[in-house]
Amino acid sequence: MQARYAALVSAVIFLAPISPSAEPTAAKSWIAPRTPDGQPDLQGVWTNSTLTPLERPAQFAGKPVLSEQEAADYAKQVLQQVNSDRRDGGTQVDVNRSYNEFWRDRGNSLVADRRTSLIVDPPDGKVPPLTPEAQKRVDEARAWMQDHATDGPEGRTLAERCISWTTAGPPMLPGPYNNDVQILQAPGYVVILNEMIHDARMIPLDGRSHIAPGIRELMGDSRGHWEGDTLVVDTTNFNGEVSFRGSDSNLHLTERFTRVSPDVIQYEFTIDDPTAFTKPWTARIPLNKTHGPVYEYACHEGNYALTDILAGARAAEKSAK
Amino acid sequence: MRLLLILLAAQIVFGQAARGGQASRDGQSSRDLEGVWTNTTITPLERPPDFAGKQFFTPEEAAKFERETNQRNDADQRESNPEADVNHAYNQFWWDRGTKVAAGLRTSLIIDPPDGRIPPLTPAAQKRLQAQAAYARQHSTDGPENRSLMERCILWPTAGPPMLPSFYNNEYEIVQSRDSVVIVVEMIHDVRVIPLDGRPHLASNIRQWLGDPRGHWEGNTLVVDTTNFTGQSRFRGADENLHLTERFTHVNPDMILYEFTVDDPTVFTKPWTAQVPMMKTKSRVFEYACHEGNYAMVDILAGARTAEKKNAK
Amino acid sequence: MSWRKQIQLLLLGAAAVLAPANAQNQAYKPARTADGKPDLNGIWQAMNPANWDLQGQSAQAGQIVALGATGAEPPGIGVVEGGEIPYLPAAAQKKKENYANRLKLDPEVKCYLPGVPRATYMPFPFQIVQSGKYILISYEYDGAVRTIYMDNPGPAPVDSWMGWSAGHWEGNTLVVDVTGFNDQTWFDRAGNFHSDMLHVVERYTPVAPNVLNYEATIEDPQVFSRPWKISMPLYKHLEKNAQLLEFKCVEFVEELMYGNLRKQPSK
Repeated sequence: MQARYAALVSAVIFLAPISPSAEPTAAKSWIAPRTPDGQPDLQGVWTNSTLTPLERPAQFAGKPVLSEQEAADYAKQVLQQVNSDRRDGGTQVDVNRSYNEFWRDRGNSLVADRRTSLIVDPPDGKVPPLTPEAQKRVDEARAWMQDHATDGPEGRTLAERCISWTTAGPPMLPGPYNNDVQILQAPGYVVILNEMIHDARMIPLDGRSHIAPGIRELMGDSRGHWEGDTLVVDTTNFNGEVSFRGSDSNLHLTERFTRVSPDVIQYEFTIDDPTAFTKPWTARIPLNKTHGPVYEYACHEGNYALTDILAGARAAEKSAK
Repeated sequence: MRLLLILLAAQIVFGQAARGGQASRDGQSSRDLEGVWTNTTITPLERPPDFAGKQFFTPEEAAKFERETNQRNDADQRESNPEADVNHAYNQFWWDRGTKVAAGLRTSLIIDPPDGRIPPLTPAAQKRLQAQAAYARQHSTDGPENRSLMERCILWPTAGPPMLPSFYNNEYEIVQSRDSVVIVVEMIHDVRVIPLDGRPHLASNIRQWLGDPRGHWEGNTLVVDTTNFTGQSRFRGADENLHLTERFTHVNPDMILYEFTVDDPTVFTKPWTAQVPMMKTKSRVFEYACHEGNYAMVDILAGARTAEKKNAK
Repeated sequence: MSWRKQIQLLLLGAAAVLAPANAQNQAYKPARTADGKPDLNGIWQAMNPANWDLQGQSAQAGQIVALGATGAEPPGIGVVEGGEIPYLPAAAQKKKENYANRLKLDPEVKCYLPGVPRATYMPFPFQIVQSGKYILISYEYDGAVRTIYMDNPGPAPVDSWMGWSAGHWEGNTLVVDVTGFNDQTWFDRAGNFHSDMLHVVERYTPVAPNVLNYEATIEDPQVFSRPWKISMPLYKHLEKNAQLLEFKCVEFVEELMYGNLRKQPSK
């Protein structure tokens, strides 16, 4: 009884349109505790590191889930393949493996439910085909990057330029390292703080509309609301600079966060971008609790790589004469 | 009219009445400085040599002085040679130099020292000013910094401070609130906000063209203490050590008696004080968009460059 | 009283006290001057990037490479009600040209007087001084200043950059009717402009301690198809001994404006 009044008082004082869920959705599922203002509590530091790829590998075509043994074997196989500490290819190969394993944050296992891809829809576990225009755009961009790879900073990836990593996205995907994300909640807001590159998404829950269509952002403009115990985040106004698997500025991204146990948030995202993909597609990635803290990733401040790559290209050109 | 001036003169000479606590006529509180005022006058800052030793004009001398000054100042008179005509610049319509000596019939605005002249400069200041003047003569059209602050539309003597009449636009609008007296100087739309709440001056590393004023009331006189000058204002040689004290007393419905004391020991061998009556006017202060209309600067510099090219050939 | 009743009263009280801030502004009772008018005295400043673009924009690189991030343009949600400024077709074209050439054409670059309403949302504070007879607004930027005449001053005798301001009170709102503009100022750094038929009506309303609600309705039949409106809060400076300092920028633009005419030209 008191809990209900407490929730009502919170709703009035903080003007947040929360629908407190006092009844569990199913008798046996675990119910997340609440923040002081009545939101399901997603707070903590989480990681999405996993060996499971986004798209189903060819060897598992038609096989959405692995058995325990198959999963163990596959994980072992992958770990062997990616291990950058192995010495078996000669010097150039060694150098191209760049960092030692110590620096990497790949995770050691597949996702707990042993799916063969993070993509759950379409059922074949692969990104749907691009529209012809989008395919053309992507091909041209790739060709340009190849032709101009060292002409200037624009020829390098957004990650190398310290502008954007897929770890933050959105959508958020595991990357080679620094896959930590911290979620904080305050009355009327959920904040998603990605370690790389210290990106904080402030997601208002008060039902306000998106910013004007003429104002575009790299990470888009996010709005959130609760559906039962699931946080639904709706993001639009992308500027298209980040082409996520071919996406453009018409990307309409929906993310869903549901805390299903003390140690796991089920994270699911749906890409809806009709000028880029012939149909929407969805992926699911568990966020597993980790101890943190989230550290500062001062990417640009330490970006010797970009200077060295370009300077190296200029030096190579000179010595070629 | 002359009688009125003599009465006013008496009021000024025996100044205590102005500084006492009596309200002026018409029941208007004499702490009310609001309104639009003008300090236009032909009385010079310093006593002319002709009047050495003479503190006041007689009415006849004042009339003669006015006649002669006005004749000399008349910008519409036609000289024998065109260049002199051109150097009169604007027609008389545009000037606001005044036609009358200041109320009180003094022969100079300076009342102290008694000789009505600015005290001698320190040797260091003299040297600095001579060097500046020599440099200015040789580089007068090199660039904008070599022109006067007026031509650059940065600062006019009307604003000062101290506030002295100039060629035109000698208008001031005073607005008072509970904790500030604000003086809007028409030229060049400079606003002096004078806080009355006793706060300290700005830190000494912050310098301003118009300095940093602080005000308080002594009886019915507003006393304004201004420091933090830049030293670039070129007021009669004053430097960044200028410590200016101004006193505003609303002595009768039509006049604020404005008095200022210049204290700058690195420049002047002793402080000096002047009085400038500010007379009520029905006018409003208009916008003086000096910089926005500053064709003169472009023309002066372009003309100099053209002349150089011609002479080089 | 039962605890349930107590909570019900608490909810009612909370609802009353926490009514949304954009409810009719007259709900707030401001302090008054000696002559009974809402007291607008103080140093105020807008806290938004409207001066970059009234319509709002994404962040973008600046035009001077050497300034790096310090010269980059911040993002803004925009302050125009309805989002778009309703240009007439020919004027819309001129706005585009203004924007493309803004480094050369924006009067702010040359330290020219900012006009109204731009002076209100320049990134500098301004001081309102209110006596019985006058309301003066002194802007730190370029020492711009306006006297708001409360005594029916009649039509503007001459055009000016800052216009001719006539004010009166409507309830707790100071309404200022501004006419007599020349056509030289811009509304922001993005090239939004007007003709000399500009007519601005401003409304200053205290809505909370230390907060004014500012609205300006802009009308110019030569440039816009209808009147349009901007609005924003103005916040009071509360730091001890707050004061306006000088920003006499004429000196800072001499090199820009006259450098090519120097004897030893720097350009």
